Amino acid sequence: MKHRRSHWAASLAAAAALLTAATASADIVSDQAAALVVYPRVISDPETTQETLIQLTNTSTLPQAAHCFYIDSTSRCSLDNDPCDALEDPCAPEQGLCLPNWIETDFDVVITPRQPLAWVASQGLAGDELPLDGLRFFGIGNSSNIGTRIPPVTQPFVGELKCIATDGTGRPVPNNALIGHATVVITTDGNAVEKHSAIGILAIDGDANGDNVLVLGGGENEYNGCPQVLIVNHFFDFAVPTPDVGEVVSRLVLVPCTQDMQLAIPGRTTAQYLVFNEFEQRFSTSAPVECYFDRQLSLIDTRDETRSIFSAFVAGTISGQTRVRGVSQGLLGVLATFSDGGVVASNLHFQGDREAPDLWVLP
Amino acid sequence: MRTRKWVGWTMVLAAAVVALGAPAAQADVTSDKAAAILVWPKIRFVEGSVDTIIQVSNTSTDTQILHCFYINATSHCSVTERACDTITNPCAPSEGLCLPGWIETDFQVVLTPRQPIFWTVGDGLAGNQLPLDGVAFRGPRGESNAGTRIPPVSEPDYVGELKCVVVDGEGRAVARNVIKGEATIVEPAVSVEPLSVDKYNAVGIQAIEGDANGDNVLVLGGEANEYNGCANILIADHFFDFAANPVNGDTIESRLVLVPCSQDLLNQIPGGTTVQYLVFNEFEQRFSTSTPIQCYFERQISSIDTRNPERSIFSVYVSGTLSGQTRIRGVGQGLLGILRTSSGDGRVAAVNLHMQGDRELPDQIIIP
Repeated sequence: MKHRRSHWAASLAAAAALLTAATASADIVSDQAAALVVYPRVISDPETTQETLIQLTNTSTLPQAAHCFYIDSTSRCSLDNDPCDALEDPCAPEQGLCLPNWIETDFDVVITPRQPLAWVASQGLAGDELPLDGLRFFGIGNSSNIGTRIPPVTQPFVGELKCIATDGTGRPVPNNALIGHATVVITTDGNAVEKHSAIGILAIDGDANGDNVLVLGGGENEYNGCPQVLIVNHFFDFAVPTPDVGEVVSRLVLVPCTQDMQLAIPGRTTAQYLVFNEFEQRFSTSAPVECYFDRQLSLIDTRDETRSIFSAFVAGTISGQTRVRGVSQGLLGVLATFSDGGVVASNLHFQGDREAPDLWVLP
Repeated sequence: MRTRKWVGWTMVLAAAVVALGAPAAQADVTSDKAAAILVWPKIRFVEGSVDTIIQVSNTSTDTQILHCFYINATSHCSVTERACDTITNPCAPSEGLCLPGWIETDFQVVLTPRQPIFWTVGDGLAGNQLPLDGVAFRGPRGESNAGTRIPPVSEPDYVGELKCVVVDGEGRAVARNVIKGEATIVEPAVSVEPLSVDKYNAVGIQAIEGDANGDNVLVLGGEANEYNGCANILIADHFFDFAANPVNGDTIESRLVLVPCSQDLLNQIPGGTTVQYLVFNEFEQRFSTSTPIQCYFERQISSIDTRNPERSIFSVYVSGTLSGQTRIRGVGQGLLGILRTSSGDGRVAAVNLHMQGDRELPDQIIIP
């Protein structure tokens, strides 16, 4: 009798534990505070007059440290180091080969309670530029930005920025407190401005085992996982949604969820694209994503953009829905759309959970 | 004895499973996931100049029916009926008073599996403009957009919002989180170029059980488990008005758009609440203000708390720093919104607001 009672008690406890255990889900967000924030599109290039204004804000009532990584993915010609793109801006023969690049630079930011910070990527933020420098200016409770030193990016710079909430000693903590935005200003195009929200990855237990490997998704309960599918609502390239807007061309930016920043091994995966037009007709293609992917839509599957499944000439309608899936690693991204009215950026939609986790390996 | 004890533990176990497993409504209002209700907080149309392109997609593999509502929030002068705004475009004395308006027009949209569609609010979408009109064109399994008729907005100078709810064939709201949308606002820039374009994601409210009791009152949040609730706090990460853009030196200004979560579309009773703003600058200094909103709110942020924008807590002259964090809370009702930022020549960039926390009290959308 006693044995039977303890059996039921154990069953009850097990059921309770099962139902209350936090499970990692695809809670990637672009509209809530998180412990990890990713800015997929950061550009600083005086030649194309593009510059990025970064905003990073602490939404909590406690000071929050962050360890951040600029990831420079600017490809360069092998002989003269000029920036290049293998497809859209290749090197001339005398410049050599267009070699991909992936270099991370990390730095610390300390944000006081509820504090917003902003800086220009090419200028950085340090010393007496800090709002609360801890020498002359302090916040409530003597808080300050002391410990913050944001370097300027090298120029030209095309890449991403990642920030991780830490405890001040560099250990990641499960504080879902950070939000961010990136505003890209293109001064040659009549000061065209595009703005997107940083993508947030919510923490569950954070790096509880202290091994500096952040597990996104899976069964580890460290951070929520990257989504199974990214959904892009777009206009097909060369479509004209309205006569005022004129012809539209879009660029898709994708970054892998898995990255080894300790050994400088970028993520890489194959991205599968399922494209639906307004007639419910379906096309598909796939393309590799190595460390950083920034491509005009109609150049994803072909070198002749008018023959692409992403062009209105092939798709046959104005708007499309593209579902993007990373085969072996998760993906995050944004879409930038160019027209006569300038440029707009939009965050992608997320759907579903990946089975396998992604990893951030920190130095 | 044996039977009674066995039943007792079983009941306890079953109750625990039910209690711990039941989904609870939370502030899962989202701008980056498919949902059962979509809200586009700002729709703008001015004949000959400004238009809004609406995109909506069905992310599922089944045909979906949407019941959509244009909510016309255009104010009019009481004598001349001209469109007006009490701050930016007030009525002259001879035109009378600028009276707020709130009228809903509803229509149906049928989306086939995975189908994206778009329309401009000035033109609408109907008849042979439909991609799969059901007459000449059908999808692979015979499905079509037949039943869709999207009217143009009802005025040549129109401001308001759009809402769409996923319904079944009988018009009953259902718990299918399958639609996503965007809005692109096309308007003349102030100088240099003829056009400015800005884009935001529609805000999605995910369903739990939908309108399971069929009473046409969609409860957002609370204990009813119909839909997730609106957020307790909206967070706007912004630049203070009149700050110089550190990239090009242009003057930055922002406009905040807010719509209440609660709306009675059956009796044409708009939502309204007092909005509290907590503003933090980079020095961690805090300011606050509050304003009422009725049905629709769009204001330059430095005109929220004063008629002298340079003296506003949202202006750089008062706040003293470039960037700010503003936490927005609806006292009586939840809120949804976007922020539109312009600089220099009037080029605009729109972003969705961040959301935080759960509201204690539910909101309601009553549909006709």
